Amino acid sequence: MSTILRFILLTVVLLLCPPKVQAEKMVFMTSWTAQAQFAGYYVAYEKGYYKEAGVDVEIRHPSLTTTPLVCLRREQPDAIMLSLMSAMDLISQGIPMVNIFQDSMNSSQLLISRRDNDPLKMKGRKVAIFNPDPNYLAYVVSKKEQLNFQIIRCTSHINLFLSGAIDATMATSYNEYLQLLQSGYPLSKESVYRFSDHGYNIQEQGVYVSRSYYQDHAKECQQFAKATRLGWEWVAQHPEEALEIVMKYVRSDHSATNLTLQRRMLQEVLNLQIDADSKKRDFRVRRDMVEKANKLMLACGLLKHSVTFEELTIP
Amino acid sequence: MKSLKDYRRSLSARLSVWTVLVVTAIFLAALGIMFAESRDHVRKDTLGKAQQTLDGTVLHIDNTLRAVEVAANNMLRVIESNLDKPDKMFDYSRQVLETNPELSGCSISFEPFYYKEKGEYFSAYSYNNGDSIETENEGADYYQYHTMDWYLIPKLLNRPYWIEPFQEDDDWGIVVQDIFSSYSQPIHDKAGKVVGTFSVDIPLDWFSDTVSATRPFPNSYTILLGKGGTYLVHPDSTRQFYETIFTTSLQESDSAIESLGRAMIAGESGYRQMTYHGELLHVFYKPFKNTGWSVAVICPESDVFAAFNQLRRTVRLVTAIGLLLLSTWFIVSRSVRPLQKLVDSTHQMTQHEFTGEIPDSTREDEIGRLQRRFKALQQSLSKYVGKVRQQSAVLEARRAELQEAYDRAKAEEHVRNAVLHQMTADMSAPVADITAVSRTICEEYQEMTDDYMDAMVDKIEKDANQVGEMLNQLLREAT
Repeated sequence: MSTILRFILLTVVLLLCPPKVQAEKMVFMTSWTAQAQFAGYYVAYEKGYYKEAGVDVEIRHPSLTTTPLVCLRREQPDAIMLSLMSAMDLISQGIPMVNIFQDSMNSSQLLISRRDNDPLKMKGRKVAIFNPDPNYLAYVVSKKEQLNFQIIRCTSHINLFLSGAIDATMATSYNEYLQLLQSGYPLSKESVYRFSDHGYNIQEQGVYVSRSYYQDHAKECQQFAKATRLGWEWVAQHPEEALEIVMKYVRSDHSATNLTLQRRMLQEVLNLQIDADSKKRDFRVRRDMVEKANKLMLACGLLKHSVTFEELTIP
Repeated sequence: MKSLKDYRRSLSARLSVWTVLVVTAIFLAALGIMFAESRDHVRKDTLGKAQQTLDGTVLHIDNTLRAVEVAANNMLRVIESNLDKPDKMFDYSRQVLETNPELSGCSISFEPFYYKEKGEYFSAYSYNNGDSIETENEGADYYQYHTMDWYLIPKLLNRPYWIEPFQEDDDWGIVVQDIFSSYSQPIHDKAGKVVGTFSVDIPLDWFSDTVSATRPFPNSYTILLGKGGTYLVHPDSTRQFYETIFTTSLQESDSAIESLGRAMIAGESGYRQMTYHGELLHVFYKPFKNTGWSVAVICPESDVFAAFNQLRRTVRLVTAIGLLLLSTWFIVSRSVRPLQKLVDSTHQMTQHEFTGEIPDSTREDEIGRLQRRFKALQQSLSKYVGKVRQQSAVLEARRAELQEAYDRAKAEEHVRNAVLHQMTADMSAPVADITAVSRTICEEYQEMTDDYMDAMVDKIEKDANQVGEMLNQLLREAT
């Protein structure tokens, strides 16, 4: 074989087989310690959906003793899980974040009062909210209903609530509410105010990256979203198997939880993913909800300026 | 019809049966009373022991915690008297651990910007890692202690409070892996305003070891519940700290467990029986005075009544052996009963009684075969003897007939002889006449006239006819 022919063949082979590029690691930080709320992400990782999509994802869980803003500064994850209102708050503070995947389609927020009190009749009382990702709706309802709650930022609601140090607490229907049930605390219907039943149905958890990261890693972000969606769809079809995966993460993270609670949590999280209008898992940010959140937060002084749907989502 | 012997035997048997029944009834009643008394006694004893063990454990923990509280309260006065010396707080937190080796950590923490020069976070924290005591300012953006239970609860309640056991997950500064509970109390300035909190930490292991050691019986165990029902101590380590007593009820309601859980977290003391996973359990529970936690000693039924069960097992064994012997006797007796019947039958047979009843037997063993063959023998003998008796009767009848015939013949002979004798006697006169006439004729033939001769001949002829008739009559009689 002539040297020219060899050169041509080598060139063709090199052209047909481009050099394998090592995928850049994408560090994704959840919004809480390991639990079924993140089942879709765990499954996407464990089932190799991320790998198949060409994204090298590392799932991390945050410390509960700090806030997402501190996490972003300190650990600099590429993607972080935030509630829609938290993301809007960060954006209004000048931290451009963009949603690459939305897994919650409904509000899970509850306001629960002690001793069967109507939460909306607790004027001036102490109400606990979650420090790492504030329950903005507590501020909204306090302002709108002129309740003047004393907002207490806490890391964990349950012991605070049980101790009587607070009069009411914000809770999610998939976590703190179940923990309260699990604590044996008697909860009456009257003591639980479900925001989604009172015109405050604003979707919550989604995955956000900085706009600059998105500009540089648009494809990875899209692939991440696609693989995560596959993960959640698998979870919806195989909840028990998904729970096994969840419990693996729970044990590894030493989370103080158990399978029974996680099962209930997963059921609730999967329910919250179903869009009220389309009755499907759309995994998308809803313009109307962004607008509603924007309006409510602005009215309560929770946003420095209006945050639009376009600012929040992928162009 | 029963013989007197049978009647006596029957009376004796009935008396025996009644005696056995009455004695058995008395024995069973006595045994029952003894069991009930023993059970009650054992129950009181063991339950008392369990209660005492629980009381002892609670008292021991309460006293230890009280000592912790006293030490913390003493230090609190020192802290509050030296609020103007923030750097001394590190010394104080260290000093607490040096003088209280059972404590693992101590925080003296203040409100944001209480010391302006110290910034937003100022918390003097010391940790005893077992080898040495480390001290640092634990507050930072990464560790926003103002939002933690141990800081918030005593501050908001404005009183000391035992914090539920917790584990922190921060990975900077002093990293603590322990699960611990904190005795936290607010720090007041001179105006009485809460300016921070003072917390001392005690590892959960200390409680676990102390509470787990509370085992009045080999299979009993202890659970310790936090205020929210969390298993702070549980024999199943996968549930300890991860589950509450109500967790299983999230999936499937269990009223017994829920009721116990509610009673315990309500701070009640008590005792109750409950069935869990099919096992009867005796549960004693009592709260700690200091923490509001509640400890329960759970004793399986098998443990509570171990001594009683041992007694019951022994009695059961003895009863079983007795029953076995009785059964053996009964079986053997029942088995040889046909032999007894055979003995009786044999005895009857020796008395020429072949009609005694030998029941049919379906048994296939030797006794059954013997019984059947003996019955066949009895029936055969009975038939044979019957025949013999029948023949004897016939013979007897015949003999009687013969005797009668003989007697009759003898009587006839006698009559005949008498007749013959009479006839002979009757014949002797004519014969004698004939003889005398004949001799007269022979001797006096010459001298006899013809008439006389004729008269003699006529006489002879008359006597001869008379004799001839008599002979004819005799011949007739003879035939």
